[in-house]
Amino acid sequence: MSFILSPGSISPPLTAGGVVYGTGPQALVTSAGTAGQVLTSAGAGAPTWATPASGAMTLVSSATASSSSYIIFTGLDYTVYKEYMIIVSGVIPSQSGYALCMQMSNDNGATYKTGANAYYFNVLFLGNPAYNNTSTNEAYIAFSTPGGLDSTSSFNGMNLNIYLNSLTKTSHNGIYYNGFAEDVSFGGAPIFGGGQLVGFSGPINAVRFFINIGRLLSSGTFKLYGIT
Amino acid sequence: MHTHKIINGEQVALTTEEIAEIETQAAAYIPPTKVVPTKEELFSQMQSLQTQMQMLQAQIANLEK
Repeated sequence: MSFILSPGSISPPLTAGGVVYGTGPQALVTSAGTAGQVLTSAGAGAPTWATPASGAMTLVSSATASSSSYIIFTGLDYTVYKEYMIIVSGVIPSQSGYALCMQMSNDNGATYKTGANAYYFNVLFLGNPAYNNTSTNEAYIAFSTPGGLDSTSSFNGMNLNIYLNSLTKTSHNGIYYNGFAEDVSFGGAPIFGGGQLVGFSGPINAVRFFINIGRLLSSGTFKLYGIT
Repeated sequence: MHTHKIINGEQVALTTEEIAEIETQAAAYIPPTKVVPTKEELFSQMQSLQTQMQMLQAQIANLEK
């Protein structure tokens, strides 16, 4: 059953950013809290806003790709969260041999840093044989294996923990990551790496993921966590 | 076919400009081509291998003395 609450039926009146909760006979509204606070249950009592303990991880947003061109997270705010972690699982491209890629924005996703000389990254793939790639002058940070990711569902795709910190610097904003990736010709193996923007003013407040060379993200789950 | 992006969990249709940008990237890509060695390079490699074989044969001959 659904119903519409009007300001006159709620006590106290609707508050911008407040959350409606029930007491049984009544619908009440919490205060707005402050940016970064989380709502804490009090059981059957009124929920309250509370500041997460330092180091706590909060799920900020999540997305599941389904033949998608981009997965985008905007609104990254380093006054709210000191660091961010993006957990990526089961990324499969629409065609074998291509890489998951990431670009960053400092205008909340209106534009992204692209073009030659934009990114620098290293990747270490501990397959057999091991593979160490240093890339400069790239238009994106690529998360890949030597032969590119496999597009068949028999593979588990790319799985990564991407850690974003120090993204408030005026240049050389960096990330690092670890994970497990599967490849057309090299099989599966752990993968480690890091990358950075070159000469790009922070703070970084949006990131986007895609498969390079115009391919699609057939599947994959992306979860953005903020860490206080 | 490119149709949408997902922003903070919400599916949003791509603009015609975004689709054109992606298609341009795909069209501009030139896959890496395998470099085929020249006849001279293969001949040089063969000479190097012959030299190594002669050195190994000499080592084996010394061990058999």
